[in-house]
Amino acid sequence: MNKLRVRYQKLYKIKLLMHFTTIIRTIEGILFGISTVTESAPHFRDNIDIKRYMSAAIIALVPSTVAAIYFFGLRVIAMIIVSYITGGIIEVLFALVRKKDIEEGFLVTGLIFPLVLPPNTPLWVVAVGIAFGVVFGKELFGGTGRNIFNPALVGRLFITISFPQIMTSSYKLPFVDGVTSATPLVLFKTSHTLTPWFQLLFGATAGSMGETFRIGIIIGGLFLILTRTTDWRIPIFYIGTILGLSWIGHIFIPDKIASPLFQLLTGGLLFGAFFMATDPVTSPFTRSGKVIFGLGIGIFTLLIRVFSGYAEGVMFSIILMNGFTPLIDHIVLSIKYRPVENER
Amino acid sequence: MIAKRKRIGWGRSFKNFRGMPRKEITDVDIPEKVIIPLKQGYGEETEPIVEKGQKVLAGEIIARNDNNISSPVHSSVNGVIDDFINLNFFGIKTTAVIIKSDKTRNWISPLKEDVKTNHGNDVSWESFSSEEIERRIYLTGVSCLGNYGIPTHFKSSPMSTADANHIIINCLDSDVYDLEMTEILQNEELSKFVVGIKLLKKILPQAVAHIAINKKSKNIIDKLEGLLDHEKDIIVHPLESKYPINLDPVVAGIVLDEKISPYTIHQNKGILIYDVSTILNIYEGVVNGKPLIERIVALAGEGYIDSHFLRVRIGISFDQIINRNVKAGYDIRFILESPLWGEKIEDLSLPLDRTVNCIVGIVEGNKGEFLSFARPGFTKDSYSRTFVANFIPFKKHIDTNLHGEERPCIFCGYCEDVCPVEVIPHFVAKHVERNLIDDYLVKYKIFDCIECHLCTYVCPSKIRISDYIREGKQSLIKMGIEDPGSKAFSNEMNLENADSLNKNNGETINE
Repeated sequence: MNKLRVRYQKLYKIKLLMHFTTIIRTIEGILFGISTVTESAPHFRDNIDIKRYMSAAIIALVPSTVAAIYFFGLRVIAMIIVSYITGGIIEVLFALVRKKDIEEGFLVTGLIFPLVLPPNTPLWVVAVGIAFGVVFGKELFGGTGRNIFNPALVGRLFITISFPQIMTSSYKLPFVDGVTSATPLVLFKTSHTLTPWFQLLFGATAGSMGETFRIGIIIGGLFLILTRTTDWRIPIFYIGTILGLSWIGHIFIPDKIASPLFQLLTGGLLFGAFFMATDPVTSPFTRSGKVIFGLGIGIFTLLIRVFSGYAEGVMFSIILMNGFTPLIDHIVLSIKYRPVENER
Repeated sequence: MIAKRKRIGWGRSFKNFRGMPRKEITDVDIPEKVIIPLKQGYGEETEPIVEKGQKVLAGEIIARNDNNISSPVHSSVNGVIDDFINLNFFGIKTTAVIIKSDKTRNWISPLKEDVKTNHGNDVSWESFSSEEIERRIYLTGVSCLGNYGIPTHFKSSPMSTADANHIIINCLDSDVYDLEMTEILQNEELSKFVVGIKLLKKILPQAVAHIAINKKSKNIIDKLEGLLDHEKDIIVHPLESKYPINLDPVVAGIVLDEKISPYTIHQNKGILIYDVSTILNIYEGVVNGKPLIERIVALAGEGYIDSHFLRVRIGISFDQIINRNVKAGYDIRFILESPLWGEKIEDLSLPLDRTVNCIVGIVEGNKGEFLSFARPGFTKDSYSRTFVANFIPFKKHIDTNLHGEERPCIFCGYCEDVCPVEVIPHFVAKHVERNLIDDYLVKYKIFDCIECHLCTYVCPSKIRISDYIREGKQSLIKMGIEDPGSKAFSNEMNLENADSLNKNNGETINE
């Protein structure tokens, strides 16, 4: 293997590829691992790296992705490919200009983005969305780790507002082609129709591609928490808030507020709770901040679902709370580290 | 007495690694020459009382200084003083004595009039007065052990015997290559251990002794309880064995149930911390009159053919200890004490001093691994649970590879989860990285950091968090901004002491 590596490293010397060393280095890192050693204590390091960390998130998304392909056909694959290629090119371009390594965070963004789209979204809209999301959601802030808003959601928000007609008419039922169908949340809002919970749980409803197979999302989410890839606080408090508030609300205004179980199993709640709200970069890093963040999205989601013109509020509320993240952290830190009088 | 159980929400337990030392002690041959540093363990440098060409016996005192805080240094071999050299011993400059040995094993006791007890072994320690115990501890050199020495009426520790409030005996096995106490303290050792504690208690009667031990070593805890039955002032603390609980400020904080600043731990609260080997050395020194000329050292790690314990004379070079036991065909890094916080041994010709417990040898991971991030990881250790080894207890492998490229922080929160103190490591490190160093960082408790390096260990972005934090502390001290805790303390002290204290603080940080 070492010989292979030496042979590969000859690529660095080719003049034509001078400007593409970033790409060569990234591929070398993926293929051959790295050969750098520690300098001082600790003399050995944890085996986890960002590649594996992100891979864990991808693995957690596998059930949703496979279910999406099963329910909505091979078109889903095309959408994922378009998303990866468009976003990937932008990512590489920024890396080349900045002369920095290509970062792995995009692997997750590029997969999550198509999964939160309606199945009939035209491919060019997918490309526009991911391009906007990556450029304005992430790269302009300085790349992975510095962004304020979840890039996938920025892209989704952009196309929701820009192409409302396309977006609302792109939902369809699984296995049925050519017929537009409303999502369970819209059905409830417009005609108080309750979709049976069994259908909701196993995905036989209209909805964004990745969000309908909810049992798979729950499995993926538990996988993330079990592998310590995400913290349990945000999803648990988010879901808990929705359940609690809708339980109370359902008692008082059952017409407008559906029962807790229906709230839980509709729309992008589970997908958002496990895969989007938990994005470590755009959520608070303090533990109590995570609790507040979860509570906040929960409240906003329910408010938007019930009282706004939109049927679904997961995306808006996460983006909204992303904006509050620095403030939440600041407040939590100033309380946690407030000066203590007479400590000694 | 057994203390209440305490829950620990931080840290990481390092278990089940390849290269754990076998519990078997082999004697290493007496080397041809030994290099004996005149500053070993706690205390200042001693003055040589021998001359070039003089014959010395193993166990004979070759250097002492009764005017500064120090403990006598002995010749560890029978032989002739060859030379005096200047030695840079892991950043400490000291004079060292080279002694050419005649390779004989016998030794004498520095307690001259008590030489008989050496062989007879029938003197009951219970009849010793506390002065006698102190004298024996001092003359055998044992008083230099522990992070603050052992207080005696000689100048062996800046703390007087009356100032000691707590003795903490650290029996925790939370480091990577630590053996469990059930293996170390078998029958005879356990009774020696108990006698050692009782001897310490006799010279420090007002102090409470705390034995911090892994709660899983139930066997030993039960036996200790039986042996210490009537002693109220000796408390056994069964604790969860998670690194860095074995580091001084952490173990003190947990045992005493209060926040302990790493800077004022000894001076302020009168806390003395010793490990198991120190207690056993106290026994040997007081009861058998044996000077501190030998040490039982563990060879641990995958760099050795056979990891086990060795009985070696002090002053032998690291080279001679590890030779013939090093795996051929590998680059191996040798580290003092622990791969987590220990220092790399750059120069293997340096001698072993009185404080070394373990020489770690791990393989340099400078090769890289094909598709390393996508492997199942049967032997890979990780805080995250993304490797098979987290679920199936295969023996885990350690090398010095970084296992990933350095990336920007993604706020995964691992460092905060494992941090034993109230610091948010990535937050503080980021400020230092961007050179935003001012008293703002003191507010975020940068001085609470005990440098256990666990944050750097777990970081998936491979950021050297603990190095940044240390850098931040050093710059703050240079700017004249001090830990509020230590400041409050130095105000309480009289002026002359305050100066020496500040000096001490500086030293702790530079180490």
